Amino acid sequence: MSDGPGRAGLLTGTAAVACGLLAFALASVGTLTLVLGAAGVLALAAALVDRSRRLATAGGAALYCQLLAAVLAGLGPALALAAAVATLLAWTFAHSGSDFAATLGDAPAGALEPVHVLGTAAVAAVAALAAYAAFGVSLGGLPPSMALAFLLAAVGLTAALRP
Amino acid sequence: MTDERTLVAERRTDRWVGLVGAVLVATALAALTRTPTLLLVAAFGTAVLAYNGVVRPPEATVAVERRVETRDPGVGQRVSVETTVRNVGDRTLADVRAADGIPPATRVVDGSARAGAVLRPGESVTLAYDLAGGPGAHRFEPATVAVRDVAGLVERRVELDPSPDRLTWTQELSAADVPVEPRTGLPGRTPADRGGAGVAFHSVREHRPGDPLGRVDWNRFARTGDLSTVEFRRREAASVVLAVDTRYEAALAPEETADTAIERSVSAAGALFEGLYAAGHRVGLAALPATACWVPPARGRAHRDRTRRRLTEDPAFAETSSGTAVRGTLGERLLAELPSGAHVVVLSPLCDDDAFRLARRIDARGNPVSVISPDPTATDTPGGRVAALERRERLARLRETGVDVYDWPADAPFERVVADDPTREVVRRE
Repeated sequence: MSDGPGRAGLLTGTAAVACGLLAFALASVGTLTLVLGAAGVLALAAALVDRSRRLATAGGAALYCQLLAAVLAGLGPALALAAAVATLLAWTFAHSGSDFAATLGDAPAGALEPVHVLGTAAVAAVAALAAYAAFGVSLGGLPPSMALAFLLAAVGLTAALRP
Repeated sequence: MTDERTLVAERRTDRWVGLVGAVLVATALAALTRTPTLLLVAAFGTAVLAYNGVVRPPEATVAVERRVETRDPGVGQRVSVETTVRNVGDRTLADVRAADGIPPATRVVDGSARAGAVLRPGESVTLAYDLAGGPGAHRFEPATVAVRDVAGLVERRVELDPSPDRLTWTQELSAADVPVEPRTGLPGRTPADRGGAGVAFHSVREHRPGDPLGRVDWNRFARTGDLSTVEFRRREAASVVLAVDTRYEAALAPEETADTAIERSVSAAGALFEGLYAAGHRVGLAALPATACWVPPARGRAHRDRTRRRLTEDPAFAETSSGTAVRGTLGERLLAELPSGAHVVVLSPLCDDDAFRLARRIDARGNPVSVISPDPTATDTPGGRVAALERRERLARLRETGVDVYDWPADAPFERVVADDPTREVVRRE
C-alpha cells in the first residue's frame, strides 16, 4: 500500500478550525464572548497556515475563555458541554495538525488523519457523556461544596493515574 | 524482513498539557460564582484527563522489510528503495509513523523515506524513495517506527534494522590529470623546469669537470675556445597530494537533488589519482580538515590499493563525518605533513575564506598549488548570486597569484574541465 504524496496536517488543521467555528457559534452570547471566540478562531486559522503550536495554544485558550464567559453569562448546560467538546477538539486538532506536518511533511499519510480526527472525537464524546451523566445523576444535585470536593478528588485521581 | 525491535522510547506527547489548569479554573469559578454549569465543564475536563491517565501506548507489533534496486550502483546512479512496514500483530494500529534510516551521507531525490498509516492486522505501508550518494560504502541506519493511540497522547517508538543495510556506490576508474610541477628530482615522465639529461633543449652552462662528453657544446668550443655544456629539460616525477575539502561547509549543491561539492570532489580525486598515478607521479591523499585521513605521496601496488580503498571507504570522505574545522586551522595537519616541493591539488568549492586561505598558505610555503573547484552555487536567489560572486572573486584572486584554478560548473563533465585552460575564467549565462 503506498499513497501518493500528501500534505500532512491539512485535514486535521481544517478540522481544528471547523471545531473552533462550532465552539464560537455555540458560545457567542454577548460582545465579550464574540470577541474572545473570534480571536480564538483566527488564532487557530493562523496556526493552520503557520503550523504553529503557540498559536494553537493561544486559539484554544481564547475559545476556553469564551466558553467560561458564556457560561457565566448564562449559557445552558447542554450548549456549554457541546462548546467544551468543540473547544477541546479544536485545540487538540490544531496541535496534532502541526505535529503531522512536522513529522510527515509531504510524506503519504494514508487514513491517519481521518482516523485520528474520528478517534479523538469519539474519546471526547464518551468523556462528554460520562460528564453529563455524572452531572445529571450526582453533581447537579449535590451541595456545591460536595460537588467541588468530588471534582477535585477526581482531578487528583486522574493525575495519580499517570505513570 | 526483520521483526527484531529495539525499544527506543515510550513517552507521552503531552498534547493535553494545561488541561488540569483549565479544569481547576472552571472549578474555582464554579465555587466563586456558584454556577453549576461550570461544574459540568470541569467534569468533562476531568473525564478527558481520566482517559489521558489510563491510556497506554499500543504494542509496536511491526516488521520491516527493505528492498533495494541494486546494492552496488555506479556513481551518479539513483537507487530505488522500498521499505515495507507490516503490522504483524492481531490489533489495529491506529497511528503508525515510520521513517527509514537513510545513510547519513546520502539524500532522497524522489519519493519519501517517511510515511504514516493506519494498519489493520496484516496490512502494510511502503516507503518508496530514490537515493543518491557519493562514491563509497554507505550504511543504512535503523528504521524508526512510532505507534500511538488513536488520540495521539502516548507513543511507543522502536527501531528495526532490516537487510540490506549497506549500499556501495562504485566509481568507474576513469582517469584524468592536471599539469603538475615535478620538484622531486626523481626520474619520471613530466618535463621539469631544470636542466640535465633529457631530449628537449633547456640551456647552456659553463662546463664542469665530470660533465658527459656527449653534452659538450663543441660548436661553441670551435668558435670561442670555451668549454660549455648543453642542458636538456629533465623528465621527473612529481609528488602530488590530492586535498579534498570534506567539511560541512563544502556539502553544498546548486539544488536539493544535485550532487554535493564533496561528492563531486571525491569523484574527481578518484579520477585524478588514477590519471596522475598512471603518469608516473607519487600521489597522496588528504581529507580537509584532515582529522582522519592522510596518505603521503608514494608509489607501488600496495599504496595504490590502499589509497583507492581510503577514497571509497574512509568515513573522512563522507560528507557528514568531518564536521567543521576551527576557524583558521583548516589544513594544519596537511601543512605539517606536506613534503617539500609536493604539488597540492586542492578540491574545494571555495565557498568560504578558509579553503581560499589554505590554498594561499600552501602557495606561500613554496609548494605548487592547483585548485579544482566544483561550483555549488545557484543563482536563482539574491543570496545565491552573492555567494556566486564571492566565490568567483576568490577564484580570481587565486589566479592572480599564479595558482592554476579549474572552475567546474555543475553541468560540465570533469574531464572537459581539466582539459580547459586554468587561467581562463569560466563565463556563465545567468
